[in-house]
Amino acid sequence: MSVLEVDRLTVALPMVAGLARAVRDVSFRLERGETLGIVGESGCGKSMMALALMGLLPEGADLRGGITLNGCDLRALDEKAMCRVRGNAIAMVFQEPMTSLNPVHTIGKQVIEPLMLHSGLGRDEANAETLSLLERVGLVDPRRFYGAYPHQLSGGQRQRAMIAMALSCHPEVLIADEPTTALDVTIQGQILDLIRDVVSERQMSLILISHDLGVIAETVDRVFVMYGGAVVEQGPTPDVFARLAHPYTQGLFAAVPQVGEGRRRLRTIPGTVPELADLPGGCTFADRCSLAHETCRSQVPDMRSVGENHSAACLRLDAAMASSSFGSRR
Amino acid sequence: MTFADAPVVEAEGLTRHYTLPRERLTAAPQRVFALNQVSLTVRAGRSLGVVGESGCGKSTLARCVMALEPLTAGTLHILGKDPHVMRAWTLRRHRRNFQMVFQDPFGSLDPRHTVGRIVAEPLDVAEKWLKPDDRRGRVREVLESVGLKEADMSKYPHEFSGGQRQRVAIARALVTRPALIVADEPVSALDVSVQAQVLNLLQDLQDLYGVTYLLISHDLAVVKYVCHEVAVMYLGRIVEYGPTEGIFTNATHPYTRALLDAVPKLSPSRRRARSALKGMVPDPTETNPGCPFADRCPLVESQCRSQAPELREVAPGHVAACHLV
Repeated sequence: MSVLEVDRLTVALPMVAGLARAVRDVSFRLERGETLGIVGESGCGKSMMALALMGLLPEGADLRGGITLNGCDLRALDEKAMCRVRGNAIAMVFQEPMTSLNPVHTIGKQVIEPLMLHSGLGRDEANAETLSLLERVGLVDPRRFYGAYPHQLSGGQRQRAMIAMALSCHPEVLIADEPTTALDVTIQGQILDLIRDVVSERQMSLILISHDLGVIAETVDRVFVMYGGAVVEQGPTPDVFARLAHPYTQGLFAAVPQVGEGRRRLRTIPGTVPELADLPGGCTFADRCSLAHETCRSQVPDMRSVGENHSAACLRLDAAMASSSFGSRR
Repeated sequence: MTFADAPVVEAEGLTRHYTLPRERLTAAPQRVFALNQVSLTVRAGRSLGVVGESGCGKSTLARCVMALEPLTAGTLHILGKDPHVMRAWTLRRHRRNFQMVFQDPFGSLDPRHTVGRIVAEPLDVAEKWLKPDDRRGRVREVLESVGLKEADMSKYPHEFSGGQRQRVAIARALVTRPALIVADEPVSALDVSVQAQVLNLLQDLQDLYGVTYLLISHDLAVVKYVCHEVAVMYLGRIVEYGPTEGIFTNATHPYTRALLDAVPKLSPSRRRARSALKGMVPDPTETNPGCPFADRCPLVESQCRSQAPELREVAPGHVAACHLV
């Protein structure tokens, strides 16, 4: 049985400009130990999806579809019951470790809090467990970090503390929303290695959200590419990166400056990401797509298979795959 | 420009130290060694990229070159003149030759001014003798060259996306027809697809106007796309400096190699063994006699801890500061 099942998840947020459809019809199953990456630009709905899974959507948000964790329907739980799940069976690491840690509590106190709340350990056991967690996430000399305040730590150390908090109750699903975006590149490598190691060590399932194709390519088994609130391409990471199917994925890939190349022009995607409150009818990418036909503007594309477990939502998939000169760019 | 071959920027031993507030009345105040003995030269129509992690002094370098920050030691010449010894009013006129683009296009544009006014503002300072029609013409010209329309002049910053705002910021820097543009992380606040548009724009403007760039970035790939030369900084010092090709294909300093290695690659290669750097950048308030990178260096030897390496030539025009190269 899958650990997490998401069925036609849809999130709409009321905004001044109208209803922003932040997530549209996203479905997937996550097996034990599987790692899933969600990649997309700002405003593509990837963070809203994470918040929906955690039951942390802002007030007034309209959530539809099903979220099932280990056979338990999370949508049916009231807030009190959800509090027992959140941080316990499903945990999250946020992007900005400075603002997501409480500045007036010590690191130790913040790691021990979910432990005492969920696992029913006594203070001494919880203390010992906290120290071993801090050590596990690479905060050598855990006693010093136990009593330290967030401002005394560097960005990388804070993110390690966040990971210790998320790991404290042995969650089955770990959601990491841009865990390394605020960090320097050498520290980013250390944190990604840590996440990968603890995930495989504890047989957790991981949902890694990032705007960075490189981070996704190196960390996860399966990848979702999101655009305008919907998944436009999905598949096993090696397959997707070997055969980019959707024109948006192709464009995104070509726009990334890579270290292995000379001074030259980058291919760009014209225009900007659409407003979620004002999505075009038909394919949301049609306005920026060089292959768009009349039908693309009126008809919403369905997911079509491009290979085993690899599919993309594009009406002009054949033309896109044929013109995929991007794919060969390595 | 009449300064065809003269260097646009010539910096010699730039040093900037900050004094921290005293912790105790009797203790000597601590100092932050933000920039130590940085020398560099950028010729007209070329671009130099400065890369490094946070706290390496790259933004301090940008601010010192822009004369927004006094120097502790060293000399700087922009088009042959030293902005740090000028009187305020001469410096003001000289400033039209070097302009800056900031990182955050949401914070660097006044939300209450129209784009036309924002872009024209440097002209009010540097070329206030311009007639209103000429002034308007200049603004229109730069807006068009960065891909915006004349109609955008009456709009406000909030009506634009991040990428368009950064175009406005670039237009503002270009309006005085400067020889040098210092860009501090110009694309790090932008989405990938928009980042590529702005990087291409920077290249186009260089081809069109022959403008010189000093580009500060934490992202090696960004620098690689725009720059002819690269300087890698660590703890306020340049540790490697040379032509872009040389740095990227033949990096010699262990720090440069570790930085290059840490960048995630687009090909899915799981469990790639990174030459992971242990630990983090040390506190810049301390100095030790040895190499600043010694504590994190995988190749460290005993002489690295006692003696600071000088920049030595490893290939024509390519220098690195390491005892072991």
